[in-house]
Amino acid sequence: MNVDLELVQRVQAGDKKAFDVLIMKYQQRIVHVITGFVHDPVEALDVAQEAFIKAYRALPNFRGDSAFYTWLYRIAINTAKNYLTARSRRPPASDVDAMDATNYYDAPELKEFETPETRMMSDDLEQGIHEAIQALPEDTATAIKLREFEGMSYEEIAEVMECPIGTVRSRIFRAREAIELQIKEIMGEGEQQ
Amino acid sequence: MPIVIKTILSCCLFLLSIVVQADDAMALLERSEVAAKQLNYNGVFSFQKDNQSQSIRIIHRADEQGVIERLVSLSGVEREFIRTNDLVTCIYPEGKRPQANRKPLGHGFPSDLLNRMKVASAFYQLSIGKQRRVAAYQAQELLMQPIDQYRYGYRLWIEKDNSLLLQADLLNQNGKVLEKFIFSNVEMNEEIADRYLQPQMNGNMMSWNRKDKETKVNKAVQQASKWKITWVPEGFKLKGHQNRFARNGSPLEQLVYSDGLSSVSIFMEKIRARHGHLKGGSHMGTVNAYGSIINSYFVTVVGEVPAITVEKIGTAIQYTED
Amino acid sequence: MTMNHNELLSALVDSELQGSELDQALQILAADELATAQFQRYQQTTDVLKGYGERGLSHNLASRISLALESEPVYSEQTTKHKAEVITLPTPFWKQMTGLAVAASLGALAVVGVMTQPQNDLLTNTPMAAIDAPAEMITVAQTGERWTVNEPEIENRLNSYLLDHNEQTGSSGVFSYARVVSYGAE
Repeated sequence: MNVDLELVQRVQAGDKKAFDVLIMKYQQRIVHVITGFVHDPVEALDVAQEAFIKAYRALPNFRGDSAFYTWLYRIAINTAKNYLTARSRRPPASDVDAMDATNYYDAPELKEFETPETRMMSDDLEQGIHEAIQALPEDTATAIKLREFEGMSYEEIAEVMECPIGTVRSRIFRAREAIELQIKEIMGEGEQQ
Repeated sequence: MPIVIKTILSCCLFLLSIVVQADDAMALLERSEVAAKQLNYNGVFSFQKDNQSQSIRIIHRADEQGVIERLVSLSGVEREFIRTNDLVTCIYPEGKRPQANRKPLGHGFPSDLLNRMKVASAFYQLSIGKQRRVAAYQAQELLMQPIDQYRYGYRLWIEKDNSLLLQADLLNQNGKVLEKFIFSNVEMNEEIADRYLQPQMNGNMMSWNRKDKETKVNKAVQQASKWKITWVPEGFKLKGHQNRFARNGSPLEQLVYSDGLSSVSIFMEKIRARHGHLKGGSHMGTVNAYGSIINSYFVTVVGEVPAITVEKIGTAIQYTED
Repeated sequence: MTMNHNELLSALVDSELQGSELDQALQILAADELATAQFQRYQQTTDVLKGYGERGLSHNLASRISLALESEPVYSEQTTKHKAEVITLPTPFWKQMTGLAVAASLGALAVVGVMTQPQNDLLTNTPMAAIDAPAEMITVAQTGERWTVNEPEIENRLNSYLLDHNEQTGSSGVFSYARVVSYGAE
């Protein structure tokens, strides 16, 4: 059963909190998409908020013919483009097709709003996460790598690692706990600086 | 034993007729290739696939100075191409670009297709078919059936007197038409004044030499590849190889195989914490793709070939450690 | 919050929960702010690993949106069913439409606010009222052929590969010209 679809159906049946879960799941990706159009980070958040609100309003008509994220993604793209049009700004010159804004290959423009400080901080974060993964016991590391880097489902990982799905789940959970400890250390150091 | 002799004779005659037919078909193909280059013609053709149709006007003039050809899109996004021998200029509306930072293609109207067919003819069975009228001309059918199920076939209709290609169908293994190019009207052998070959559109221009992108296989680079492709369809040879970096910094390697007419590219992209890779097959119109993960690389086979081809190649890729 | 709760949240990040466990996870999130924060942290790790982490950008977007949605109506099965009926077109209608000249049919459907290719159902469920500029959305759908994949990232990558492939091979003569003209047509 598709979890996203289940969440959507719960929202449609009256459980507004289920939409919060969808927001938390996809907010980062949607902000990332929108930043391809709206470079200012504050504006990008505003546009992302608008996109989610529009999605909520359109949700009664979502029937699951496409993946929820695909549907949400298109709403985000159009919200961003409308926003730019309203502000009399053209979409980026490289945007021949809506898909180009979220091209798999990161556009250098996406980095414009970074400051040296935030860049260093987030590089540390990514570095820290990778280091945490490297330091994990082998089985735990394998499980999280297969999940995050190779996009495998728990069932596929269980098959590859020849263990029960429950074991996969707890390994991935332990990996995340370890990563969280590492992030806390990095953030802690960052604050001290 | 007269029956045996008769049988042997029949077989010989049959085989001979096939050879003669193939020769005739090849001759027709060659005449058509020459005609596409050397005739003057002015007409409108449509390009059809699925339920969509594009109309394009083509004006082609050949003389002692060479070839000038102008194509104008009559539907969809407004754009024009002017080709003067090998220099191609695309004129497109302001505010738009032909493709995302890529040069649009422009290898020329039919002559290139016909030339490729000649090159690849060893892997296709050529035969002459019926006659019928196309764009008010009498046309001869020419069939190009692939020798196996790993490539698409073609059916051409070539004008009888001047040998201009009037219609070309791209066929799948079941003979279903996947794409069609067909003239709705065309004038041949008329004088074409200069003004018909000037661009009429206002817009931006982008020019390139169509010979620039010929990629030579660099043997040294080829040897450096850690990838081994253990199966490709018969006649497919390595025609291109490039290494570059995707914008996220991942190394991206591309191998191009072709029989001269059909081609596939194999992409190997180092995984760099990305998700959302194609697993298994997908298609977009006549183009098929097959994706997998091998040794922490996203491996994707893409090409205008049947699905079975990209899948079979996709499962015949190995990573070799030195 | 127990370890077991956190494990459920971790599995929810991966969309690997169903049935009663999904119920349980949602109840935990609804009842416990700390659980929500924990879930977001797990999600952030995944997002960073997949390259979506907006570098150094900390925000409380989810809370903001949640707050903004407080004034929005809570849906019920009745409202969902009613709206779906208003928008959906019966199948025979589609069969008729595919027989018409494509340009005309696209225009007509744009007015109605529903636009799709049979294999690309991106907009079937979106009413015009919910989107400020339906013309924009329909333009996207009008690009015609699409890969048969659900994720935009995959589609993007395949399109990029196809561009590379076409550049290297030129595709097949006459069709390549036509594809140049039709590729990216809006």
